[in-house]
Amino acid sequence: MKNEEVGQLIREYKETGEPLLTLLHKIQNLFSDNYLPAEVLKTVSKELKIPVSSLYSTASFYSMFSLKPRGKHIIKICSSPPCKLEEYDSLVEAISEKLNLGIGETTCDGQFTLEEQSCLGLCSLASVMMVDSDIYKNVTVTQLPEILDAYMEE
Amino acid sequence: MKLFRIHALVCAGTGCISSGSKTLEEALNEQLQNYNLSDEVQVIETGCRGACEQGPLILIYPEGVIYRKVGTEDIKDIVEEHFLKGRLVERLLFTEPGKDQVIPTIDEVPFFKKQARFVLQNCGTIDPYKIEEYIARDGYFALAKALYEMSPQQVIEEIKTSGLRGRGGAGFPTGLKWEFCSKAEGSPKYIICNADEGDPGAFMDRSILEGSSYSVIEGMTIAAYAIGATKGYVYVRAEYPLAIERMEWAIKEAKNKGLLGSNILNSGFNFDIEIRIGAGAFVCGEETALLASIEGKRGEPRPRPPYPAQKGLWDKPTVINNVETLANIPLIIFHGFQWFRSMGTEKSPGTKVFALAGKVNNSGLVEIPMGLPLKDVIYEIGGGIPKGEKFKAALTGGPSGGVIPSHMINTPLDFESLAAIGAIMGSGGLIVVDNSSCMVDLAKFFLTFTADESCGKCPPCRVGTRELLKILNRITRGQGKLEDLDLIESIGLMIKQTSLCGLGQTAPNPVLSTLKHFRKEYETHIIDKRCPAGVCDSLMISPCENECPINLNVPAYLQLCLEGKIFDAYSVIIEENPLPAICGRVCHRPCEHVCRRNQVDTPVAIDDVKRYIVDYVYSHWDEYQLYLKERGVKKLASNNHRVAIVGSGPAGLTAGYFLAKLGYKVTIFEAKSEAGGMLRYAIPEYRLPKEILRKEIKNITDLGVDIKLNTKIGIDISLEELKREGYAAVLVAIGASKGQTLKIDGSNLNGVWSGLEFLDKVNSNETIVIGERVVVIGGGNVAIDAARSSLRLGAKEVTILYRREKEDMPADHREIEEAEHEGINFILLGAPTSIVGENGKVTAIKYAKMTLGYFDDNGRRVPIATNEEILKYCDTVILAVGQSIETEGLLMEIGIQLAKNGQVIVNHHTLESSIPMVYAGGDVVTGPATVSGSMSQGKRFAKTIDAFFNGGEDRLSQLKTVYDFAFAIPPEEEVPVKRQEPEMLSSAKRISNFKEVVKSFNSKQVITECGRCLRCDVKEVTDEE
Repeated sequence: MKNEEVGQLIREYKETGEPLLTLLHKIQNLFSDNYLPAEVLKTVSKELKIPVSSLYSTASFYSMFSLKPRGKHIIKICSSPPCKLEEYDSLVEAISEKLNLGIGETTCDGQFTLEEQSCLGLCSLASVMMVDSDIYKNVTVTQLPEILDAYMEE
Repeated sequence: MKLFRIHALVCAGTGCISSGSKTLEEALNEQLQNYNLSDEVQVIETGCRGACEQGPLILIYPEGVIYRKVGTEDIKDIVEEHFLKGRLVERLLFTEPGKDQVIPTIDEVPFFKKQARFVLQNCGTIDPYKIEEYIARDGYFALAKALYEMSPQQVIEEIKTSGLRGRGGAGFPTGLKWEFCSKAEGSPKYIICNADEGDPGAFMDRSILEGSSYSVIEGMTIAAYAIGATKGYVYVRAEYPLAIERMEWAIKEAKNKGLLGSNILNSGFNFDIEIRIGAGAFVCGEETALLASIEGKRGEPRPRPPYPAQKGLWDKPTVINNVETLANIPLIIFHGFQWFRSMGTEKSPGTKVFALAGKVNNSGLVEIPMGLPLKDVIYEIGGGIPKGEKFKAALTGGPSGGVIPSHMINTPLDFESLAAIGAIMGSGGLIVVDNSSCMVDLAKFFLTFTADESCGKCPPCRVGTRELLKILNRITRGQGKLEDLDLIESIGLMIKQTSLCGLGQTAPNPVLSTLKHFRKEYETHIIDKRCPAGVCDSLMISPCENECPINLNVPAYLQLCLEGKIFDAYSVIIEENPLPAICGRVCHRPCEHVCRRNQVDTPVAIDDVKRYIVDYVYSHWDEYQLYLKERGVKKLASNNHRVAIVGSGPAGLTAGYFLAKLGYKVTIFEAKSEAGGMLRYAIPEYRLPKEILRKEIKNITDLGVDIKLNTKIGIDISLEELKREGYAAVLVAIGASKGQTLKIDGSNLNGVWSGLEFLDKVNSNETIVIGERVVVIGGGNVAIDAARSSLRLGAKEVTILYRREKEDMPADHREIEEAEHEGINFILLGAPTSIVGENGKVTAIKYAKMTLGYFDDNGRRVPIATNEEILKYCDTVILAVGQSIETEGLLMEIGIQLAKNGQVIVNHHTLESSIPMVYAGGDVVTGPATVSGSMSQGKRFAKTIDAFFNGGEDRLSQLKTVYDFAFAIPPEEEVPVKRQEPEMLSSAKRISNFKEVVKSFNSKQVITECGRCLRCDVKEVTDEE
């Protein structure tokens, strides 16, 4: 489970005194299925002498961390009022039709996870969605297939 | 230093980057090289200018020309035309909303012109990666001043006197916070910049961090000096990667220049800043939760006191300030507190950045002096509501704020005024909504958000928000009870008073505030089971059905018609509408306004289809009788209750129709010699043939409704007599048939008519001597009807004089167009000042030229008279400037309670008046309104009466039949089919007579049109909680 890379990150953490959340972000990024495996949390706990319970408590609190495997690509649809006033509902519906995917779910092939995105502050460009770290603005249902196809594996 | 002829500022905020500004910049540099202009034109990447919707933006100096929505394909033109030839590329310039006139320079664009940009002064002006540019614009002068000329105590005093209040939401005085921390025991001390901007709809902090990061760092450094901190943290949300990148860069640059780190500016003062990144938790914006998160723990809040100023980060004294607050610090120190206090109000000095979003033409970041009325922000800066819709409310403060309803549009935007009406400033989110938003649904939305984001530590917030949400869900599904509203208030108050932190203490605000200002909308959901905005899905069949005042099941009859089942389609229509052929001709078609097909191309011509169906059935009446025989007519058994209806307009006829179907004995009393009210005496024959009206009235009398003509209640028969005759209830539906007059000189001359009086004579076939030159004053349907009738009566020249612009005319737009086709002149922006006469007869009219000035509370520009007066010769003047209710006679006589404007006061859900068993409906209650609106009141009366006699059971729905038609969403069209338009009588054939102008669809058109329906009535069944 990427022991070496995790070990390296932990060493860096000890040296630089960087914040714990940053370490968790970095560890999660190591995994293509975008999550913090329980095994790894145990390693972190042992190395840093932080009880697993308190690591779990932190990791489970923030929406950006996941304790179960997610898709390779994470689709996030902004659900703030300005986006909600525009296309939010129809986008969620269209994705559910296209990928058979509801909010919080992952496709069977492990390609996509659909999540709600908190406000990105691009309210004048509503509706906004993200796939991984790419931002899409003024998204409409008609553009959706094109956007998603770019992330589909051949 | 190298000098350039032109500077091209390309916006590179997150917004513009997502619109492609990076590739734009590359293209620009490439073109400049092609033309050998690289030494003359400098391209600068800047932060966000705030008008993200118009992005990518390019601002060109020295002229200050601003181009918007620039694409790579436009770059060549900008270089060739603007840079080489000095000509503007007009198509890329800003325009007035809805107008063609271009606005070249940024200073003239209304969105920027009315702002007071100080905190945002560098956003979009400097390159955020170059500290030199910040310094060149007086950056770091404030820090130098503080370090060399002021003691820490003096800095605190300066901020205290300035009256600066925290911009993050609560508005706590910043200077005071600093003072507490500076006096607190303990060391080290910390200063934290709260950049966990999580409020949905707010993005000023992101923009400041991206575009003016140095000002935040300078502000933090000054704060550190004042409170004695040596270490600072910027806590940024992970959702803002660009802000993090620029902040990191700025910190590094500042250190390189000796403006951060040890011995800053050789003053001996040391201060360092580190960035901390969140991981997606809204509650971390709360200061104690934020502290926990920096410490690497769950971001849960803890009780205060102790306040962070005493025990903050790692239990050390800590000041936590918001981004915008900190960005204000250098400005105050540099310009002095007097300068700061010269803007804004006494208790809320300075400026505030608002994130304007939602249904507004120009959205984006706007910085204004505090205390500016909301109206100015929405209309002057925001350019008003798109598509001419009406402003309904503004939501401030996101999920912890509240609403400002339309009648409070003059509310000043400052801490006190907003708090006074139950809407808080919050971090400055300002979301504008129009009538297409449901207030209950919005409250539900915000509550879902806070319920989700509640950290769960304290039960009032965790459990309370869920309970509130359950109630709101009930209401939006039509299962609410009136007692729920009291329950919302008591639970809401409990959550506010007992929650641990700001999240819970403010979570009920959106619900409580919408309930306070839009209680009626909540009640309509509960009592009428209707969502006026057409949002709450389970309360409607489709948007068109929901918007129709009499709730016609439009998708059903369109589909039945498509399947060739025309008699079934007609049956669906008359279940709700007793006057369909009339409505098919004169309805104002609110259904088409909300038709979702509008988002694809143009709405379905619903009304024309309805007319086709009804016209078809009326011309195949015998066949229809056979169909009826086979199917039977649904009517409840007769009962012995007698109901009297005064007035035979659309309200009275509709009431009579439904009551008769429910088995009541109904008599309609009509003062005139023929029934129909305004349908008969105001709408001209060429729009609504009398034959059609008579046919539909006969349908109603055939059901057993008795109409007594030439009978005036109050004169011929008194109310008492009606009671004695055994009428159990009376509906007063006498309309608003009195024409209003203008109080100007000459209005009593010979040749001056009131519009309604004129139309009455036309419709009564009285001989009218019309002059050759007619001027009609007004812009409503009566004005257009009078003008077109005058033409048909032989007038040579007909002119409509209206004080606003054509798009402001309340008349049906098809009517206005047809009037133009017929050769009627329009004088717009003109208001009559006097009518001139000779020998008691009209010879001319004088009118003032108007200009459109400031915005009124409805968002319309107010016409203001100029000094220019014009004389127009004419011999006839028709005043169609409004109609009012005839209060003398019946209404005064029976002593019914009236509002100031003469409208009868009733309970809007039941139509009960101040007199027992006397009800009122139609225009007499609403003021002059629409045919279908009046009909809905007639229907409501029938329901009220039946509920009264039958204990609340909805017996009308028992009269309905279930028809068989396809229930599927139509396949997507390859090429969208265009809306069909009915054939019209040619202008030449119509202006000398009163023949009907608009024709019925042909059978081909009707099929095409029915097929355009998107079938919003077909819904997926979802299991909501």
